[in-house]
Amino acid sequence: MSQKPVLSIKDLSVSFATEKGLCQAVKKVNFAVYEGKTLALVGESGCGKSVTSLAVMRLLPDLANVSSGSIHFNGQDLLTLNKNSMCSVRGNDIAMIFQEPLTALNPVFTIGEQIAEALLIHKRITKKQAKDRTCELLDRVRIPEARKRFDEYPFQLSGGMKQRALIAMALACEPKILIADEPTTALDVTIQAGILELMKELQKEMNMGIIFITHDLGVVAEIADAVSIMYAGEVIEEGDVYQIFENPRHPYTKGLLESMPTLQTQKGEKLKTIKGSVPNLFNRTEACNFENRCAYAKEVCRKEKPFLEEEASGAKVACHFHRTIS
Amino acid sequence: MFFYVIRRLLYMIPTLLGVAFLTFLLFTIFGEDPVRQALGLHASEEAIVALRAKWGLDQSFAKQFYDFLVQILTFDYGESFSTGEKLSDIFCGGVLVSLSLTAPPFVFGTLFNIVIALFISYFRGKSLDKISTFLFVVSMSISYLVYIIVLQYLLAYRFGWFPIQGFEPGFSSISYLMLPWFIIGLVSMGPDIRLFRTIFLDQVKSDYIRTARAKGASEPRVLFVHLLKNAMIPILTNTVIAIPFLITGAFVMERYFALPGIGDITITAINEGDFPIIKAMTVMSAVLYSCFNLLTDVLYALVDPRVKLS
Repeated sequence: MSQKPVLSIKDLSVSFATEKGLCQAVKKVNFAVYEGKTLALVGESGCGKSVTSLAVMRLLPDLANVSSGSIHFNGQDLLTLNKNSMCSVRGNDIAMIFQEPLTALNPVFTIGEQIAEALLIHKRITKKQAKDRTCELLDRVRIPEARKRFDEYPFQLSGGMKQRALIAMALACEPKILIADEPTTALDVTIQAGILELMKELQKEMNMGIIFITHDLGVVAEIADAVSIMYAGEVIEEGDVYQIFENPRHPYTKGLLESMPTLQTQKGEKLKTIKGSVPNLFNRTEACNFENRCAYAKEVCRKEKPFLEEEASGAKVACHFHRTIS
Repeated sequence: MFFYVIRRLLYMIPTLLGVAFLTFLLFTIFGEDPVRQALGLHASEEAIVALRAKWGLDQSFAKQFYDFLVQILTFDYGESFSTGEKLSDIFCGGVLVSLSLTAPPFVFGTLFNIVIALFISYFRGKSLDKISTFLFVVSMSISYLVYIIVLQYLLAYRFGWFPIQGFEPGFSSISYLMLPWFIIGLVSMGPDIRLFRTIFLDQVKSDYIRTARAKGASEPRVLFVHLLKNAMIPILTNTVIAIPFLITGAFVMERYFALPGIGDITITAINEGDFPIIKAMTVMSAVLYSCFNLLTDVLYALVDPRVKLS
């Protein structure tokens, strides 16, 4: 990967001001997204995947605050842009699709109006041109009878169709980066496959970089080129998709992979789980975050936090014992 | 939609029949004898019989009820017992005065309050939001009557900026209506803006708002286009429901400012036992309520595509 990344995130930290105090949801996260490639951000609920992606869009909730780091896109730091310039990046250069297609569309505007809006905001075109382009897009994401669907309201579409409409909306301005926050989680498995296929196709066509957020390793294997595993707001392992699946270094990654059911799993056999739960983010300690759940934990894990170290293969892992484990 | 409205109008017939019957029953059975009230205790027997015949009170209950229904259908409620004026004339004048009193502050006030509430929602959690919340809660805790009495005393009596009370028809009515308009508007601000703000903040957290921001819509566009159209649904319910309260509120305003509106006419009629006016008022408010209910449902369908009237 010698080419220049389209988007690179350096030392990004996000904290939430809550009644119980400051909660550091994302801590010193680094990653880069390349043209035409998909980076999967993987982790369990609450590990900071979505917060990271919202920080890139600068759409964090009012309570959240980026406490450090930079988000470089197109030669500028997105964190330094003013509100108006950020609006012209959103939806135009960086677009996002969300987890809940059922509620993500505005119920009182037609599908067509909502997709055309993205075009009308960013491109200098007439309403008529926007409508034609929208119909093309609807057709492109394989929504049948695009002309007719243009005038339909979200409640008239199925979940899969809504997600397709949201993809059409996100891709309307041919963004360079698409952030997909668990886009298939709320959908049936058969529809999931169709949506993933569609995203891969469109990625090839538009040569965009995708940040794909998921906790579903099956989906990761399907779509990702590079993978970053997040745990308790930090990236603990990263590498290309083969390295992660064939040779996981971090005990957490190993645990995740082992908890997936396979065709060899016998009937009645219990699926493996990772015991314990994510540490409290309010008082971060000097210990490794995973120490309390880790089968390999030793004295040093309680005293010193491991840094993300680069291996010869180019993969990175944050574990004191990654050599001995693999 | 058309057939829905027709059907709803047909449904109103049994409701209004019920209202008419109850009103009639209450007045004929429990009410005082209007003839006695009009003529006094020492009236001669002949005079009483004559007036009874003139007002149709010597007829059977069935005939009297029938006459009442005919009055309702023809909008011809006969004459006032106390002044002998034709009721249709009294009401036409009264409705105009009442509407010119309540309609402008209602329409402009509601629009104004929506804009202010959107503005406050934009600054949610900031000091402007907190200060305004405090002020509105205080303003809501003070009785309507206090506003009327204090402002009438200060602005009209002390400073002499407005006439204290009274009314003249035509353009000069504006000078008499200014202070009442101001008070109605002022009193509506607290509850309206608090309510609208809650509705807006409820919507701000929705996923579709995040989607709109994600596609690059500016904050004013998000608020005025995406949020407002969704918020219109709860706002409509609450506003249209408030219209009857506005009319009852106007009773007090008309009384204090001596405006000859429907409210003032009705209160006078009650004091004087003027049956035709009270009967007509009761039936007409029932008609109004039913119509506003229908109007709300029709407006729903216009704002929310998920609502189909059939």
